[in-house]
Amino acid sequence: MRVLVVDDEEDVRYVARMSLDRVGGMDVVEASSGEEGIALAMKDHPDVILLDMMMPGMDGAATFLELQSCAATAEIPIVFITARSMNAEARRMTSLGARGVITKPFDPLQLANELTAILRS
Amino acid sequence: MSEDLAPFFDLSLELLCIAGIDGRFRRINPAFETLLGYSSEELLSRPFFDFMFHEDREPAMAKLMNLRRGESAINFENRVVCKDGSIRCLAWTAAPATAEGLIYAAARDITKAKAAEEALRRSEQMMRDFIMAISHELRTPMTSMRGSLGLLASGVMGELNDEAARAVSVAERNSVRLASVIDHILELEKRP
Repeated sequence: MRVLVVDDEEDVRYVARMSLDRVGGMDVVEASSGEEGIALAMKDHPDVILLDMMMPGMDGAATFLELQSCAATAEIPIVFITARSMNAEARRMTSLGARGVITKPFDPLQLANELTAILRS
Repeated sequence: MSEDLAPFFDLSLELLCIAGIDGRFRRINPAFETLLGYSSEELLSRPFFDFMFHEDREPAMAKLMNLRRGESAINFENRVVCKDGSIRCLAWTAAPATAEGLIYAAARDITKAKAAEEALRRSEQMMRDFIMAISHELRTPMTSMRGSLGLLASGVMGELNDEAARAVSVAERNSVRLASVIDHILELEKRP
């Protein structure tokens, strides 16, 4: 499975990459902003996008809506990663079509399993 | 009005009035002058809609229609513009006397209560915004710390010698504990 991780925090992207790659055996590409994530999604067509909710500039919600509105990326499932207090906004995104939410801090040994479980549900 | 009750009309701190269904005051108590700053002559000479905040005129007109049909109005709120330009918020109770074409009404000044409500709403919103910001600022580095330590402790990054493994285990255990403490604190902050 190819995962696009979109998060402005380099360290979080590192941990997510190590977790998904070393534990989950997944291919990982990274983007540090909403705009970069959209460009990579259009170019790489990942199997799933792990999208941070709170980013400066184009935040997770705006990135999600942009990906949904573009024919080339609308079918890619999107899972939000967010601090728990953002859950209301993440649930709103879920009602608009996001596949699910993973809360921070996540267990690095379980991230791949959580992602797989969300995609299967 | 019976003679023994008449003094209360003038003494009341609440606004008391008798109005016509034509939208004009017939009689007002002194509290009107005290609160609104207009003389009784001014208040009696113009339709009462003239003194209302413009956005509130249409709903007030609808209430007047109901009163004309014989329905009472309870706790109906609207804003009035005082002579000095300030706005006061009033809560009205009104009962029609349809046979006479009159409305008997009383109003309470709820301006301070409304301001307090608005201040509370803004304060609660600021608290929610603060918790959201602080939650992100605390949980994001926790994600990196806990994640890195968990990966090291699990051995997926390579085997550690016993001492290094022990040190990493201590750090990982305490990062999980710290994450839990942060969760509890942020949950407590959310409670009223």
